[in-house]
Amino acid sequence: MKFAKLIRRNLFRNKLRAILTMLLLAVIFFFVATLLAILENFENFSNAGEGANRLVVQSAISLATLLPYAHEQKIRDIPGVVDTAKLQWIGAYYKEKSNFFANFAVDVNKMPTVFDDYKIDPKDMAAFAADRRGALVGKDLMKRFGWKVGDRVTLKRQIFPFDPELTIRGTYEHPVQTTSLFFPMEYFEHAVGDRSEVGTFWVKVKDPKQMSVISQQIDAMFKNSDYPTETFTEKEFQANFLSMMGNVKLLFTAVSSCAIFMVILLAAITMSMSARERVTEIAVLKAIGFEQRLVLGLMLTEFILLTVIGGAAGSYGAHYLYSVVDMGKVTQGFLQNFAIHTKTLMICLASSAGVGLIAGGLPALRASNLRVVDGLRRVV
Amino acid sequence: MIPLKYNIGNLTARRVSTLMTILGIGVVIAVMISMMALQNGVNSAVVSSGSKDNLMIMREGAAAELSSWVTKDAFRIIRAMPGIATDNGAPMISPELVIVFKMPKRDDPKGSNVLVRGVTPMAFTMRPYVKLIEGRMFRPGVNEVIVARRIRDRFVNTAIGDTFMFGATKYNVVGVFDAKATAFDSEIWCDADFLGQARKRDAYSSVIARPTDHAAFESIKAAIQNDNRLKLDVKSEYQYYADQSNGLAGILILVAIVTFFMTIGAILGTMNTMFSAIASRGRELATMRALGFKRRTILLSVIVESAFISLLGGIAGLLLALPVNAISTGTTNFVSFSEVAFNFRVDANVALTGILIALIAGIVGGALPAISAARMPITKALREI
Repeated sequence: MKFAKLIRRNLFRNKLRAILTMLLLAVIFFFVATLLAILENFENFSNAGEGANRLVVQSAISLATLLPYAHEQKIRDIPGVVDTAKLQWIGAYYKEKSNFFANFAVDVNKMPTVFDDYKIDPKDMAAFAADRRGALVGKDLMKRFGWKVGDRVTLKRQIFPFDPELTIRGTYEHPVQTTSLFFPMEYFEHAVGDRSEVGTFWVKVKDPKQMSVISQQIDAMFKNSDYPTETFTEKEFQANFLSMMGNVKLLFTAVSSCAIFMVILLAAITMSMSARERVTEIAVLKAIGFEQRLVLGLMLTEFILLTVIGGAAGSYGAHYLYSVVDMGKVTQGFLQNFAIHTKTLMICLASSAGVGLIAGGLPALRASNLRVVDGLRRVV
Repeated sequence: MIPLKYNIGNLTARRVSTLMTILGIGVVIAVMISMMALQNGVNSAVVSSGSKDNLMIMREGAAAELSSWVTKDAFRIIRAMPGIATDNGAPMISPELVIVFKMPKRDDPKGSNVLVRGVTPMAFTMRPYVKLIEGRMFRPGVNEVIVARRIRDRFVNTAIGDTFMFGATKYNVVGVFDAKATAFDSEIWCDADFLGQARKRDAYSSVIARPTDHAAFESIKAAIQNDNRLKLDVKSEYQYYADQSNGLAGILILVAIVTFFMTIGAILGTMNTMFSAIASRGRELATMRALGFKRRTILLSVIVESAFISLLGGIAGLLLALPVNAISTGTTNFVSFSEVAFNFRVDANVALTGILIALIAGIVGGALPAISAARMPITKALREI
C-alpha cells in the first residue's frame, strides 16, 4: 500500500490520456454490459416456469395449428397428471401496434390448480372468475399502461376476428412472469364461434421426475391422429421462442468480443506510449534499488487500475441507468424487467481487468526489463 | 498547407501504433458494417417482397396471412369483379393458402416455423421472379412440394428426394426454387388444393389480384371493402410486406444500439491515438510553428492525419466484414410467425456508410487533439523534453 501514491500519480501523469482511455473503456463496457444483460433477460424469460412442474402441449405441426378439445380429457386421464388448462395466445395489442404484450384466453377455473405459482388475491380471483369479460393482469403490465383494477380496456385484433373488450378484475404476481393478461376462455369461444380448438394445453404434473415420461406418453398417444402433439416443459417451450429468433447468443457474443478486442488494441497504444515516456524514470527507480519485479508489478497495477476504473464506470453506469429508466417503456415491451445483475457486473469487471493485463502486459514488461544504463542513456 | 507526405511520414514513423489504430477502428467498422448488412438482408427479405401492382386481400384485421382466411365463395365474387387484368385469357388472381410447419434446422434441432404456401400456377405468373432452379415443378393435386434454396440450405430433410411428415401426410420434395431474396425465399410451395385437403382447410388465407390499372386498383379495393358479405381488407402487396417489418423490431433495435456505441468507440479511439500522436511530437509541431506555419495549417494537418488513419481503418473494416456476405441465416418474424431466411448483404450503400462513419469518427476524434496541437505555446513546447 505504500506505493499507492506512486501508482496514483503515475495513473494521472497525463490526465487527458488517462481520462480518454477510461472513457473509451466505460463506453465499451456500458455496451458489453447491455448486451450481456439482454441475453440474460432473454434467458430469464425462459425460466418463468421453473419448478412449476408444468408441461405445454402444442401441435406438432406448429404453434399456429390448433388442437381439438378432445385431446384434453385424454391427457387429464394420464396417471400423474394433476390437472390441465386450455390456453390460447390472442396476440392482440392495446391502442397501438407497438403496444404489444402477451395476452391469453385461459380456463379461469383451472388457474388455481395449474398456475398455482401465480400469486392472486382470492378476492381478485373471485371477481375475475365471476366476469365472463374480466381480465387478470400482471403487475408490471398494469404499470406499463397505467391501468387500475376496474378499468375497461379494449384490445385490437391481430389473429382472431374480434376485439376483446375487457374489464380488469384483478392483478397477479409472479417471480418472473408479470407482463401478461388473461381473460376467460368462454369469451374467446363465443367470439370465434365455438370452434372447440385451442393452441395449447398446460399440464400440471404431480412429480417433477415424471415430467419427461408423461410428456412422451402424451405425444405417443396422438402420434397417428390428425392432430399430433409435441409436448415441452414450460422452460423448453419458452426457450423455443428464443431459438426462433435465430442465433442471438452467437451474435451477441461475437459483437461483444469484437468490441473488447478493439478496446485491447486501443488501450495497448496508450499504455505503450505511457510506458515509453518514463523509461528514464524507471531506470532511476531501478538504480535506487527497486527490483525489476516490483517495477513490473507497479506498472501492471496501474494499467489494470486504469481499465478497471473505466470498465466499472461503464458497467455500473449502465446498472444505474437501467434502474432509473424503465426500459420496458423505452423498448416498447421488448425488454421487460431489464436490469444489470451482479453476475454481469462481475464479468465486466473481470474482462476490463483482463484488457488492462493484455494491453499493458507487453509495454510494462519491456519497460521493466530495460537495463538501467540503457534507460538512463535514452533520450525520450 | 503542410504536404501530405509529412503526415504519411508520421504514420510510418509510428508503425506499430498506426497499425494497431487502423486495426482497432477496422474492427469497429467491421462490426458496424456487419450489423448494417444484417439489417439490409432482413429488410430485403421482408420489405422488398411485394409488388405495388398487386392487391392483397385478407380477412379484416388480420396482421398476417397465417391468421387470415378468405372463403372460396368470396374468392369467386372477387374473381368476377371488373378491372382484373388477364394473362392469356386467364384472370390474374391467385388464391393462396398459408400454413406454418415447425421444421428442424441443421444447426438447431428445436427448429423454426417455415411458411408453406399452397398456390395455383397463376402465383408463378404474378411473381415472375420466383424461378425453379433445380428438380421439377410440383404436380397439381399430389403431395409434392418445391422448397426455396435458402430453406433447403438450412433445414434438414428438405433436399430433392427427401420427404417429411406432418400429421398423416407425407410431403415429397421435388424441386428447389429461388425468389431473388424476397420473402418467398423463406417458403415452401405446393398445390393449394392438395394443401387444403391435407390440413382440412376449406378456405384460402389470402387472395392476390392484379388490377388492369390504377383506377381499377382503387375501384376493386372500394368494391371489396364496401361489400358487407366479404368482411375483407385490401392493401397493396407491397404494403403488406412493409407492415411485416413490425415483427422484426427486436433486430432493428439491436442494430441501432450497436451502431451507436461503435461510433462513440471509434471517435474516442481516434481521439486517444491522435492525442498520443501529437503529444510525442510537441517539439516538432512547435518548431513548425516557429518556422512560420500557421495555427490553422497545423490544425488542418492533424485532422487530415486523423481522417486518413480512420479512412484506412474503415477500409480495413470493410475488408474484414466482406466475408459476412457469405453468411446465410434466419430469424423469426413474430408478425407472420414464420422464419425469415436472409443473407448478410454488404452492398455499396452499406460499404460507403461504414467508410463514411469511419471518416467522420476520424474528423470528430481528431478535432480536439488538433485544437490542442494548434494552441500549444511555442516556447513551452520547445523547452519540453
